Amino acid sequence: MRRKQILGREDVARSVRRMAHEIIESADDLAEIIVVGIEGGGVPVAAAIAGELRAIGGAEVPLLRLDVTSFRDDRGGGLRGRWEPGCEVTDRVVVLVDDVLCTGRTVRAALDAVLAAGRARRVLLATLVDRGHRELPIRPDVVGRNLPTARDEFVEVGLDGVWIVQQGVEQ
Amino acid sequence: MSAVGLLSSDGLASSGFLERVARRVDELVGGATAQARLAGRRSALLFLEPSTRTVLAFGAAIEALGGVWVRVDSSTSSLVKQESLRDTLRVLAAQGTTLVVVRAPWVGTAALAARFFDGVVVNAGDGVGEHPSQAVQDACVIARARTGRAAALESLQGLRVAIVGDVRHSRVARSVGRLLAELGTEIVGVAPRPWQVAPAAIGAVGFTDELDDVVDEVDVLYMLRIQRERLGDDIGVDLAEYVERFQLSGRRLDRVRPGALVLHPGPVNRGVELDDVVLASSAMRDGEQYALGVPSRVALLEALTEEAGWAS
Amino acid sequence: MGLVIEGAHLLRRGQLIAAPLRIEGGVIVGLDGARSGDRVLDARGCVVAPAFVDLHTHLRWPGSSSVDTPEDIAHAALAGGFTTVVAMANTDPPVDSVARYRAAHARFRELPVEVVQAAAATCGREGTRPVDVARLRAAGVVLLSDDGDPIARADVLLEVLEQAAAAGVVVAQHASLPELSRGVMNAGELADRLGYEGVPEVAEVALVARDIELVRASGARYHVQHLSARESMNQVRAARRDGLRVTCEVTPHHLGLEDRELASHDARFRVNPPLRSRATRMALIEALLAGAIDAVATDHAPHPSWRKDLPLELAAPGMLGLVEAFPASWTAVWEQLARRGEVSASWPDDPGALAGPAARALVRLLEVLSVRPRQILGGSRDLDVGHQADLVVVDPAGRTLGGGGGVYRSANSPWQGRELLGAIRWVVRAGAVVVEEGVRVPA
Repeated sequence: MRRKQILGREDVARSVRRMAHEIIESADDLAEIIVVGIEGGGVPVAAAIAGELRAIGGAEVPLLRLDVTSFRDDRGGGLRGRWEPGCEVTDRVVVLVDDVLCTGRTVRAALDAVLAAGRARRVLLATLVDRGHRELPIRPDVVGRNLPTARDEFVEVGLDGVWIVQQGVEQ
Repeated sequence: MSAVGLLSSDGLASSGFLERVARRVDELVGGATAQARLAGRRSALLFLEPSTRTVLAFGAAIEALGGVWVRVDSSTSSLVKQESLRDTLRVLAAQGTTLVVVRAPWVGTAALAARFFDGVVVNAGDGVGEHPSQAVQDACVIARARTGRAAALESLQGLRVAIVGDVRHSRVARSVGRLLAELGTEIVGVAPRPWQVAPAAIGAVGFTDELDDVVDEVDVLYMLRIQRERLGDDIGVDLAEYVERFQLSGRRLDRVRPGALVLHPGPVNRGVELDDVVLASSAMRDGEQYALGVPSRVALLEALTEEAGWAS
Repeated sequence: MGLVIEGAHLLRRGQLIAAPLRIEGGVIVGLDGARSGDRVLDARGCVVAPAFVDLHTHLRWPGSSSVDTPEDIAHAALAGGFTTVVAMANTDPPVDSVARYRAAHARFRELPVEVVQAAAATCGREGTRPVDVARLRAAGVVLLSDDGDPIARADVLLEVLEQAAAAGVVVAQHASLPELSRGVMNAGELADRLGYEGVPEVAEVALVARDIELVRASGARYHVQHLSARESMNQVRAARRDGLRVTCEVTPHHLGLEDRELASHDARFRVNPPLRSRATRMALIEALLAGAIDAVATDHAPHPSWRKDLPLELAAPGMLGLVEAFPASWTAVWEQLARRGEVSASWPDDPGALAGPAARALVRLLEVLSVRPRQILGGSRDLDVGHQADLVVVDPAGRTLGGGGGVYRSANSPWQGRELLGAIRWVVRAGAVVVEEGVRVPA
C-alpha cells in the first residue's frame, strides 16, 4: 500500500477559500444560501466552506447535514428515507458539499433528498476533490481540485490534506 | 457634481493617493482598526450589474468604517427605462446618502453618476471601461507578495507584467495595466488579434499573440477571465485554440522566472485561463487577492472620505 | 420709413465693402445712408451678410417626442442668424411621399423661418425602394436624403441618382458604411483607452469613394452631409476637379470639437459621425479656408435629457447647434489663424479693422453659411438691390456664451458654458428686425 500526499493543509485551505468565492459568485444574495454537507467526509468540508462564507459575507450561513444512506440506489433496501433539514429549503440556493466526487451516486441520492424537502430555487454541487469515473450524468459546479485517479485507488480527504492510496503489492 | 471620487485608476500613483492607501492596507492587515469615517453616514451600492462578491466586499468595508449601506439594483429601481440614473441618485441624496458605489454594464456610468451626485462616487466597474479598486488591490498584492509590504510600491519599478486574455473587453486590463504602468512596470499585452487594443489603453509597450514568447520573461502574469459568450466562430477566437495558445498551463508555468506571480481577478474559469496545476501552484496568488479585497477597500474609502473632509 | 445699417462692412461677391445698407419695404433698396425717419442700427465693427441657410436641421415633425417644437427650433435658427433651414426627413413617419411632403410644408408655413423640407430618398427610409423622385420634384422637393442612415445599397443609390439627375434634385448622403458604424465615438487610441467601440474615418471615406463613382455614372448632383474625415475631403476635391457636381457640408462641431471630449463620458458629445481627431479637425478648417467646403450645416438634433443623461452607449446621438453655429465656427477658424501666426495678438480685444487673412477667413465662413448653401438649393442670396432683405449682422469680435442663451429647450448643446468668439447682433427677415442682441423681437 502506498500513500502519496497531493495537497497539504494550506492547499486545502486555499481551495476552500476559492470555492467559497465561486459559490458567492453563483448566488445573487448571500442570504439565500444554505450549505448542506453530505454525511461522511462532506460535513467538515461544508463547515469549512460555511466558515469562509461567514468571513466574506459577515453573516451566518445555515449549515446542515444530510445522511444519504437511505436514499442511495445501489445499496439495496428500497426503504425511502426522509431528510428533515431543520430550515426552509424552498426558494433557497442549496449548496451540496462533498469531499470526493466519483461515480456520482452519492450526489444523486443527496439530490433526491433535497428535492423532496422543498422547492429549492437552485442546487449547486461543490466538491473538494473530483476524481472522475462518473457513472451518472452529474457535474460539479464548484471544484477544489481535479484529481484524475485509477479506479482501484482510494482518495483520502480531510482538512489537513488529501492523499491518494494505492492498494497493491509492494515491489 | 461630485468633487471627490474614484472613477479611474489614472493619476492614483502620481498623486500619492495610492501610496497612502497601500500604507494603510499594511496597517489594517496587521490588525489596525478602521477609522469610523462613515459613522452616521448612509452609503448606497448602486449595482446595475450583478456581482455578489463585490457587493460583499464593499459592504464589509463600509461597515468596517462604521457606515450603513443599502443595495440598489435594477430590480429594486426601474433604472434606465423609466427612472433615470439621475432620478435614482436624487432620491438617494434626498435620503441622506453621501457615498455611492457604482457598478454597471456601461462604460462611463460612474462618471455620469459623479455629474448628478454631490457626494463621493466610487467606480466598482463600469462596462469594459475601468475598475480602479481592483487595480489598487492588485498593486498592493504584488508589492506585498514581493516584499511583504503593500507600501513598498517602488518595488514594482522595472517589473515586467503580462496581461493575458480578452484585453479588449476587460476593464480590469485597463485599470490594472495603466496603474501598474504608472508605477514603473513594463506591461505587455498578450491576446489573440481580435482582442488586442492600442497598447496605451492598458499602459503597455506592445502586444503579442504568443504567450510562449513572454512567459519566461515576465515577473507577473495577470490572467484575465474569459467570458464564454465572447468565444465563437464569428468572433474569430475559439475555445480550443484559446486554451492551446493562451492558457497558463503547468507546462508553461515551468518556464516562468523564479518568484513570478500569477494573478487573476476571479472567479477563474478552470481549464480555460489556467489549468489545475497552476491553480494549485505556489505562484498562484488569488488567495492574496481575496485576502486584500476588504482591507484595500477599507483603505480606499478611508482615503476618499479624508479627501472629502469627513471627520471620524 | 426704412431700416439702415451703418458703420459695418457688407459681404458682397466675396468682398467686404465698407458701406451703409438701406432697407425699405422688405427689400434692399441701396447702399445709402439714413434718411430722416429711418431706424438706424449702429453696426460699427460688424459685418453684414445674407442671412444664413442651414442645409441640415432636424425639426422632428411629424412624430418624435422632442421637447423642442418646430416653433422653438425656428426661434433658435433665427437667434443663430438662419432664416432658411432644410428639414430632414427622418421623421415618424418619414417624409417619403407627396402627401407627407405637403403636410410638412403646411405645418411649417407659418414659421418665422423658411423651411425647405427634404424628402427621404427611399420609401420608409428603408434603403430598398427609391421614392418617386419626379412626383416629389413636381410637388416642390429640391433635396433628397435618408439622413440618419446612408443609402447603403449601390443599386438603390444608383437608381436614386439617376432619377434625381433627370429631375434636377440634389441627393444628400449621410455617408457612413453601416457595418463599420456601430461604434459610439471615433475609433483609435482614445476609444480603446476608454473602452468604447469606435467608428473609423474609413467608414465614411469608403462610402464617399464608392458613391462618387456612382455619381460619375449618373451625372447627378450629390452632397456629402456632415463630412467628418480628412480623406473624404480629398475625394470631394478630386471629384470636383473631374467636373462632377459634388458638394459637401461640415458641421460647427466637427470644426470646433475633437474626440477627446468623450473622455468626460458626457453623451452630449455623442454624434454621428463622431467627433474626430485633432489632425482631422485641423484639416477640415484648412479645407474651409481654402474654399473646398461648400457649406457649414448644423445637423441640429434636439434630444430630451432622458435620451442624453445616460451612459454613452445607451444615449441618442446628436447635438444642438443653430444658435452657436457662427461663433463656434468662427472660434475654430480664428484659433487656426492664430496658430498660423496670421492674426494680431491684440485682436479681438482691440478690434481695429479686420484685415488680411482674418478678413478673408471671415468672408469664407460667412459665404459657406449663407451664399453657397443657398446656391445648392437653387437660387441666390446676396446683398443686392432688389433682393429680399434677409440678413445677419455679426460682430466678429463679440462673445457668445454657448448653450443657446435660453432659446433651447433641449439641453444637448456641446457648447454649453464655453465662451465663443463672435456674436450675432441683429437678424433681419423680410426687412424687419427679428433678433436683436440675441433676443427675439416679437413680430
